[in-house]
Amino acid sequence: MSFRMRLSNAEYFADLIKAISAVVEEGTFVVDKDSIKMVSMDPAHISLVDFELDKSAAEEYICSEPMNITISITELLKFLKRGKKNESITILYESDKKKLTVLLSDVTSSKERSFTTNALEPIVSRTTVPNLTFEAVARVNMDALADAIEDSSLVSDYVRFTISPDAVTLSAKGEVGAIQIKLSKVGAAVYEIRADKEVWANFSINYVEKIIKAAKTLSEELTIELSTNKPIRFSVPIPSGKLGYLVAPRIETA
Amino acid sequence: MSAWIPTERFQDRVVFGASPPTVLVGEWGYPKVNIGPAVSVMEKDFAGLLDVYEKWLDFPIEELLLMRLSLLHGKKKVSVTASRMPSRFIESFQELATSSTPVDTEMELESKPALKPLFYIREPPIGPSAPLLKLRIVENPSVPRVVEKVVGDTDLKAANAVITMYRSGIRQEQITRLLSIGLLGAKNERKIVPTEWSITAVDDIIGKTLRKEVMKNPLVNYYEIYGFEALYNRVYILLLPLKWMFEVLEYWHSMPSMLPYSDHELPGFPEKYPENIGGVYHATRLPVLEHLSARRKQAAALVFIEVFPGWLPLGVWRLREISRKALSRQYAKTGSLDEALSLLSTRLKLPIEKWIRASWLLDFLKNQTRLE
Repeated sequence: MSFRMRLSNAEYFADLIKAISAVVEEGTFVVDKDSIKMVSMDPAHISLVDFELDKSAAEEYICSEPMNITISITELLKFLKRGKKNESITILYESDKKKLTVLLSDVTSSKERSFTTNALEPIVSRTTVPNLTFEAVARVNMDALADAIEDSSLVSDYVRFTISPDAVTLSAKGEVGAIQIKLSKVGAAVYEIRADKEVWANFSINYVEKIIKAAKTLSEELTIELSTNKPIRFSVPIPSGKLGYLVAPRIETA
Repeated sequence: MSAWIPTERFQDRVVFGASPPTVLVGEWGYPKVNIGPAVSVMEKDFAGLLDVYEKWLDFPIEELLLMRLSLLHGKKKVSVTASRMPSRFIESFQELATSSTPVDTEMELESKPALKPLFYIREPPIGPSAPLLKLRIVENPSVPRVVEKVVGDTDLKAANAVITMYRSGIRQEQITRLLSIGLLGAKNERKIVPTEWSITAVDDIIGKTLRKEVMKNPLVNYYEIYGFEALYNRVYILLLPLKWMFEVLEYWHSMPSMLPYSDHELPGFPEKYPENIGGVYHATRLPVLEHLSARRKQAAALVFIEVFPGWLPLGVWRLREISRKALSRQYAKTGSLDEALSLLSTRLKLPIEKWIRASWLLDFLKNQTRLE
């Protein structure tokens, strides 16, 4: 039983794996004839990544039958970071040997590099994406949001996301002071808002910042979905696939 | 103990005594630093004590101070890279550092040693010192085989050398000394490291290695509370049945502040230097990880430190040793965090509300929700 997938741009694939590494250090890819998927949570169960890449993203895609591949994302990423834009990447997995091979080669195949690693013991419990409904949706500029989060981190470990019918607002309050960043619906940083009322929730900047930083290179825009005091969902549009995150809120109890 | 210290010998320019306890490297003027052996004017049997921190907790603080001040320190200014092509001087310092027991040594000083009665918050005081003219090692150092091996291995990274020695049972004080004197690491990366920095570096290197193992272990089942007090320092350690997270809270009753100082770590996020706690952070994290590693368990840990008037700044070792002692003793266990905190409130002098307010970890546990 084996799996083989070739993508034309090694650097892009590295960016995808980096985006996953914002949540997990090791994880299980579920592979079948149509796509590779991963749904995984960090050890503290505060953030979740929901990733899928359709076979149409690949130049070559062969999967003899469905399989799970559990690997160290951190180790894989170390090698992938060595990949270049003009190199293609081939992922090979042989389930009987439990070995994953990454092959990097330039256009003319004059230079080939391969990296082989052992798959890890499969993770027993399968994570599923919680069923959530959201009261507000906003599509915003990625850099503007990344900036706003960095600003917030100056005063606190926590940031409040607020979506109202006319703006997306990030605010943070700490001992030294307070910061508020308002991205208005009419401005260049907001592409779309769908909200009937104002909703808000607080989140650990650690988790949010790590996700946004890792996903930043993949897209110029980001969709935020939110309800008051409920998990937030970030969706990063990627060609022929899906990249979403959930982060659990901080709810102050007396 | 004061009777053991012949202070009249501080008048001599030629000093004969046992070393190590210590080869000291200062941080002033880095990358050109003062380096040199400390020689004890005490009897050799007692001199050996000066480098075994675990025994220090048994002495009253006045005697510890006297022990510390009984060390005569010969100084020589060198560049930190001098360890790569060592002069005869540095070679002899290095020879001293490799010994696991005190070695009789003769120092000839440029002038009569001068005692500068300076105290710092974190740094231990130093005995009388003077520029060093000559150093003669009078007997053969006793060098453990593993020390000989890692010092001779110029391809071995310093961190791996530290771990190899730690696993072979070399005392931490000696590992620190070897790192400090520039005897560890790949040949062209070897460097002389100020003593203060190498103390924390060794705590950190061993701690990180143990942390990797501990994070794979199953969780403890209860909230566990350990405590011990010595030398005007009180340490309580709370282990929580959660994945590894770590926080140190430190309160100085002698210098009251609004709240305890605090620093913490959360796995998966970049390592930050604990700016508020400094070397005490690594010095208390190591015993906690040693304890969990020995039990093959995992836990989140919260360390409460109270420093009372009477303590003289003699270094971070006392919190490492007090923590080790605490973790080797009987502990209390509770089934909930609230019960654990209420028990701690009866053991700590500073009201528990202040600890709770200062703690990042307790706030995180209370208010951060999880995905179901």
